[in-house]
Amino acid sequence: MRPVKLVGAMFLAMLLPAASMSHQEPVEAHTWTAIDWPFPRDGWPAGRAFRCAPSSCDAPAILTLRVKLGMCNCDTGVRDDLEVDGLSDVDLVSSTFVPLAPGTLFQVGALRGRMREYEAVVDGTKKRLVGVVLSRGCDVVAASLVTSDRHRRDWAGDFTRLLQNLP
Amino acid sequence: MSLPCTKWTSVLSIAACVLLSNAVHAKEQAIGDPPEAKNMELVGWNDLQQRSAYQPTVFHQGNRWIAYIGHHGGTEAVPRPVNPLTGQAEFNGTSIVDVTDPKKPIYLYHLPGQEGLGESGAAQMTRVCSGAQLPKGDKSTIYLLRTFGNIAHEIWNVTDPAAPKLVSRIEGQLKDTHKSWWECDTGIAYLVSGAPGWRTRRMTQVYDLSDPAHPVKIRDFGLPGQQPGSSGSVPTELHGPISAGPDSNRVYFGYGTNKGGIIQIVDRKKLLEGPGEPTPENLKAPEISQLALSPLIGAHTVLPLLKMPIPEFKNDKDGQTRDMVMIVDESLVNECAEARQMVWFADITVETRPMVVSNFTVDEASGDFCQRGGRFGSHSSNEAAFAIFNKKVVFVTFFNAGVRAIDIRDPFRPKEIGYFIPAITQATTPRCVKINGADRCKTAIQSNNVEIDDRGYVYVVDRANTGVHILKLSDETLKSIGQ
Repeated sequence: MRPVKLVGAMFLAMLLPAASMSHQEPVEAHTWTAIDWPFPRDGWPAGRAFRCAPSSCDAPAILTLRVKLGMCNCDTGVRDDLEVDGLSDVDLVSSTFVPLAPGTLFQVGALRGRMREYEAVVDGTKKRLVGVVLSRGCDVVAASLVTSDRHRRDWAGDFTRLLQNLP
Repeated sequence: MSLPCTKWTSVLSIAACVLLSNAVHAKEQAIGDPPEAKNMELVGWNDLQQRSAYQPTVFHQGNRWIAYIGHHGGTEAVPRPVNPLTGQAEFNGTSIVDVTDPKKPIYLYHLPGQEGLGESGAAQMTRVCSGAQLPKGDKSTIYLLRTFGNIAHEIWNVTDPAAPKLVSRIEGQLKDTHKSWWECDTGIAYLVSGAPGWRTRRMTQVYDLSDPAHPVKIRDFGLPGQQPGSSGSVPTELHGPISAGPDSNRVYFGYGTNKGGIIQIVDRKKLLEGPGEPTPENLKAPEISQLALSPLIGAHTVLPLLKMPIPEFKNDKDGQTRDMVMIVDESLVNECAEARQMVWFADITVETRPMVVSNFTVDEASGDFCQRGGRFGSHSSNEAAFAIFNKKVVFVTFFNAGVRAIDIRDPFRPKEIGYFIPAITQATTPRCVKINGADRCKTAIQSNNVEIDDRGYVYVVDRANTGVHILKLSDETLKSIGQ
């Protein structure tokens, strides 16, 4: 594992004990396989990435999770969709994403925040994106998912399960 | 003790562990320890009612010098500290301190701010202009421009600094405020706000405050992609602008805190007189250039240092004088859990091709600063340009490494000529990191912001409630810079 990945995994471990206390159960149990971080290096250390094959998720999907330390108002937490648009990493999939609707509240254990869906064109193909930003104290967990535009379903259970059961 | 000494069994191993632990923690501050200093001396101190401090502005007001010091909000433990002058619990706001005798600063008044903890409340920003300078101000009045938490900007009459009177208030369902700038000779103010509908918490609202009693909105401004109705990636939010005024016709904007920094050089006249509708074209029109910094760093302060003669280049046929900006990143995360935030100098002589040419940081090993607790890294510089230090020395805060005096006469080779790390007190609040889900806290000075006055005194304020320390460079160091 490269150093940058070690740092990212360490940051995730710092926040995730709170998530593991959740009593929420996943909606479905798709098979997610860990893959290399799919994006180029940017301002934050790499996090964890997973791929779900069409045989399990009905369409190929990639989900990413990482911690961004200090990126949240320590006192208010995630306030609105601005923070999902700006912090969830959906911009790493496409810089021209368009939100489909206002986001919704989302919680995994002690981590609280918002989830929002977007669409974008990636390499000429329309994709569906999901962004999640959860906070604890001054830090956030940013999560993104990209899948086929035609594949419309609720991914909340997958985010929850991966946050709770990171290997 | 952070090392797993109990797992070590041999005497030799235990001894080694103790030695190593002592080495790691040797520089951690303790109450009663003296300040650490080189070529800087403590002149005076005030505890600022143990409130977390942000921007100080020191104004020469008649025959007095008055410090106006903005505050962050209170802590969970003490959300509303008691003002000893009134006996009342007051939300953090603005401290007004008479520093005419810097050895004996006199706390005059606390002007409460918005309810809220940390950066969610209080009144962190201050700028001061005299009515004699402002085109339409009352000539006998001194005006304080301050933020009111995250929801408003206010102008106060502080002619009698012990009895401020509200002059006007700029509201508008703001989402945030921050490090604004006010041109005293024109009255134009670049207010850092979060205007409704904008896809960022911090952008610029340009106002004409030449008549402080009657603010006039000129326009909203930000990076394309931040304006209402836009979509896709959200450009980095604003931290603060500094205007070089109408003669230079430039405003320098710094975007970012500890990530995704952007420097934007803007044509002031086009900004003020161009179409104000926030379309991508109108937002782009006043821009001369952008300098995208590494995504690992942000930009808290962008200080223009224009027309600097460069001694090393004095015999060159071209380029002997350079226009520079000093960029100060802001460390945001405790105990070095981020990339190093530091100071950068960019050559902007050719404005459309700005280029970083040098940098400055504190030697971490010189104080084991990553082990001391709290933030380590740069935050803020003085912004006043008094002759004693202008284009010669800048002062930059580095949180637990105190304030650093940097000789910038050759900005291609900046060098440290002094520093001061204030001592902690009983009032200094600890800073925590999560270890296996639990808080592990240390107490360290968190030198937050710094300003100078026209006499050469340096005012460094603490984010961790330790007050304001009034400093001066040693006589020898002053001589070395020609004073």
